[in-house]
Amino acid sequence: MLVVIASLLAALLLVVLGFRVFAPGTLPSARAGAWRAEHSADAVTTAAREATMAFLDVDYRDMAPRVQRMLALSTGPFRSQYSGSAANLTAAAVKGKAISAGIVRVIGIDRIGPTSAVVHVAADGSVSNVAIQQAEQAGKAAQNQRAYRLRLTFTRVGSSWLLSELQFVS
Amino acid sequence: MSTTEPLGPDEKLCPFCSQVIKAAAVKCPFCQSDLPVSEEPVVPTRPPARSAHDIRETAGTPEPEPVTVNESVTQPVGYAPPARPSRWRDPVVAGLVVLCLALAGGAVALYLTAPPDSLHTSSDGQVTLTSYQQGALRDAATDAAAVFSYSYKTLAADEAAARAVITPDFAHVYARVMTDAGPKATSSKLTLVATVRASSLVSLTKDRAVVLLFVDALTTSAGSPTQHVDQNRVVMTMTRKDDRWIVSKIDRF
Repeated sequence: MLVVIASLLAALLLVVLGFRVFAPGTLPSARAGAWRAEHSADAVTTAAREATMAFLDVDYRDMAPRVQRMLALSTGPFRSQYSGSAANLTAAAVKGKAISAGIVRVIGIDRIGPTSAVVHVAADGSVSNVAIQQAEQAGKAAQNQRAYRLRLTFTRVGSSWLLSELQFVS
Repeated sequence: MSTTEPLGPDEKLCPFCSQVIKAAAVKCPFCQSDLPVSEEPVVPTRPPARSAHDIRETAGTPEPEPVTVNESVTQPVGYAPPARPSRWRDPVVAGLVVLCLALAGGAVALYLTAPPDSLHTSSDGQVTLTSYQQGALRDAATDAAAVFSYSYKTLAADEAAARAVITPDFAHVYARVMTDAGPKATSSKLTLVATVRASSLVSLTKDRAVVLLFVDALTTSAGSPTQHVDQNRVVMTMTRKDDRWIVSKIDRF
């Protein structure tokens, strides 16, 4: 019995050795680092999509849950800034009867580290507000479609990637 | 089921397997165990301790009972509880065990320390090697500037520079675009300068890269003080050629 086990183990060792020599990088253990990197990329991409959609989601009739959603997805400088201006943002949305919805077209990853990541997002927005309505009623050209170029920085907090900076690339 | 027979004067119980063997035996013919050598013959008596499986009668007077052989439970008195015969003392067995452990350890170590391939490729082909990613982004910015920039003063050279960084298939698309844009640039004395403001990876395999670019295209017309800037969003697909990336497709939106 021991001879059989030893033979099987020897064969297993040779198989592993063969993979390492003739097909490097194909063993699951050799892909562990790549798997982690790709897993992080997927997580950051998902976070970027959620944050972008939340940021572009405005409805003057029900702003409170939208503000809370944005705060829940953010941290650091962006969260502080957004939290500080949330009251003004809500007041402006109500005053202008602003409604906005965004869709994410493309997300690209600039860089990902253990605790921070930078991504670029191409997003489109559809905007409605008093100014646009008045322009349309006056027969003037009103641009209610937006093309956004965003640079988002994310910070890892626990197991989540949270938005810590948002810049328009303009 | 057990059998009970008195022991003969020249018999004893093997302390390891409890079989009846010759009193002078130094090796058990049943279990092959080496038997301890004693000066006096072993006098088997009823063991003091009983297990739950002991079937002997326990009630009544403590009269001497004939020594019995109970294959399943009777133990000789006078010996410490015998150690079970150890297979591991056999040098061949021990050697095989050590060999198995060494082989298993070696296989596990070889598996766990397997290095990644040169590009740190994931199971679905995505390259995660940072230097390779940065190379793709660098070439994307260079290629985009070459493809999107041209001037009425250097049109031929600019088109040649662009053709140097695009695939033959995409060259047909580029040619159709420049069939309109070239004469227009000449007649209006236009100069387009493309500046890549940001580049990021959408996907990267060994031979194919998809890059998101934010490109500003500044258009000036000779003699005109006005300038126009288009803020473009571009997804550029690239393929690998001669250790660099060249453009195979451009989607501007």
